[in-house]
Amino acid sequence: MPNVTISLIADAPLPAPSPYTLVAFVAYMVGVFLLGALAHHLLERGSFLKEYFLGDRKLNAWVLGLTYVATSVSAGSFVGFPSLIYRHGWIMALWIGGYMVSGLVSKGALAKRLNQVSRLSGAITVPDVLRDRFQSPLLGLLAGILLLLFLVFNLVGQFKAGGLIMRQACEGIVDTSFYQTARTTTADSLTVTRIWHPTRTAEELGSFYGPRYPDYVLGILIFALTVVGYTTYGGFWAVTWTDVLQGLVIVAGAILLMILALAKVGSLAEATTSLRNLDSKLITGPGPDDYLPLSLAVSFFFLWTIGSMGQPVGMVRLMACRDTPTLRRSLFMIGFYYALIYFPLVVTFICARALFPTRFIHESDSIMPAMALVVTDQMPLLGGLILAAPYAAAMSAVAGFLLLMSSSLVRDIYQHNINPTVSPRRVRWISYGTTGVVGIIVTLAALRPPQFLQYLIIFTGAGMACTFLGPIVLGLYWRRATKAGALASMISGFSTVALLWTLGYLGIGKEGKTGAAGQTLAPLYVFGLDPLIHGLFISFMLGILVSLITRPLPQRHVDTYFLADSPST
Amino acid sequence: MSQPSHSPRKEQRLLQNARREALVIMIVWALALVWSCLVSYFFGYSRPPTDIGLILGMPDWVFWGIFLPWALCLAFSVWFCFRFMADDDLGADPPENQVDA
Repeated sequence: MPNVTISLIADAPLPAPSPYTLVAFVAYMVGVFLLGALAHHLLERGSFLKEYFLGDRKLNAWVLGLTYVATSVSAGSFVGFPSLIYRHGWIMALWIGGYMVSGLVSKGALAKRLNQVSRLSGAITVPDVLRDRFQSPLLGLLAGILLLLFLVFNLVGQFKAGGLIMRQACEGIVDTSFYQTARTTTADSLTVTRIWHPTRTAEELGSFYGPRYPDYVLGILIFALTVVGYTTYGGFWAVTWTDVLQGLVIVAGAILLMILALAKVGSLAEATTSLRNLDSKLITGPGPDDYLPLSLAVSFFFLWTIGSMGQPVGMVRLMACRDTPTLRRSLFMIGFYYALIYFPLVVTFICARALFPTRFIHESDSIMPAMALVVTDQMPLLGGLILAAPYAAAMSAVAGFLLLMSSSLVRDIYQHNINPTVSPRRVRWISYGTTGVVGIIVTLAALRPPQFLQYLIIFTGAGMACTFLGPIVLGLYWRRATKAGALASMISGFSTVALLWTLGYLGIGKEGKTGAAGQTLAPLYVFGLDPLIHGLFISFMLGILVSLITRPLPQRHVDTYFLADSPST
Repeated sequence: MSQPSHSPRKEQRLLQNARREALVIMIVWALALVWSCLVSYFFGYSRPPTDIGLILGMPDWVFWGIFLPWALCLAFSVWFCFRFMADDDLGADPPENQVDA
């Protein structure tokens, strides 16, 4: 017998947005600001740079665990991932399955050694570690520049998501005079500066730039002011403390949403049965449209584990850890956090497909806010909390990336290559200024986000892993690794990923391909595998081969990093 | 007269522990990858949908191929973090003036 509740909801109008949603949102943002202000006081102690960019290596287990999770869980986890579950069904459980070991692999395999090596040389950034370990300013500079390149792409995507979520949160107050004044001022400013025209821009650039574009810009301005403000003012501590709050909001939001969704559907079994009746491919592999062939399932397992290991934003947090008991406890917690976020998300949006079998199929990116509205129909404050989860995810990712970008500019490019004798007072103001200016530039870039943003984000994730993981792992664990080997590893990893994405963009090798591999902007999947796997293979192989045929680094220098009785250990 | 003895210089204990722990993690990673992908493939890709049963409300291949190994990985992480992983001294930063401007 069909589930009556499900059929009643499927075509019913969505509940009207409530102003109370924004109240919960504002309460959350006040908390974020307070933490940012408190963090600023810590900058007065010790070394400014180490405090501002690395928290003086004093992160405890809870903070380390939550900041690591909050930074790695981005807006994509709450907007893009739910949309994919809604469209492709249970196969997305395999797609995300790599997270069962992601914490262990990405953190456990590197953390202890990376933290120790960064302390040995006093490194504050990932390019710093490479520069010191391989005695190569060129390697440090190249790493800094590539890092900046990747982060700009990624940040624009996160800002866009932040703007869209804020627009959704404000739906309940759009009729108020306060909102209308702000909206009109924004629209007028956009028109005067010729960024947008009420009719022409949508015709030229697409429906995204239609009548709701000023609401998006207003959303992005609120998002940018908040996140750039507290990151610039409070530095690393502001980012990590707000990450703790955001991590808790993310976990609570995901679990609450699952419980309420299950209550709405009846049970998970009823939801799965509905999906089976709707389209049997929703409960089998490779899913509708052959979405996830086995080769891509393997690729995504690599991406969420080995790929995560190579993300510099995660590495910085490992460098900031206080001691090994802290590492052990946070490593244990991270595994549980991931399980408490991703499993509920899969269950929730399986229920969403059962509740709305076809309604959001052409606008599946809207399924997350729609579900938040539907399941909290009589509880708008709870709806605000749930909606704050993706916003928190976007904020925490942005804050981490923003700080990483400014550290790269201040430390890796300015201090190491332009002005090594810069005074502490000057470096403080340059750090504040750089973080703020980078935030403003990315905000401006997000006013015209590229349409193929999701692909750029996937490209940057794979690109950073293939660029940084080889040189870092070889440098940490292999004493024979050389400067030339590290450079070869970095350049070849980056080039392989860039080449395969470019070939894919040009349509080469896509004839007759279906599913993800056949999409216009997808990369070229050689042997059906993601460019990440080829990039990592080539990066490690060339790193090892070139190291073996080039002159080793001075033994005394290498001993510092590897032997027990070296002067520094 | 005997020569003064020079003990061979040893690799850092932290490095040995870190390498051993990384090796164990990578073995577990490989097992999880093979288990998840193969079980999901044989039970989720190759069977008619009518043959797929439900366990805890999810398709049986999701339970055996993802949910169960995920639970086992969590159990492993408890053992790894509290029994296996060694505590090591991470060292200290060099003096202030060598790090900061």
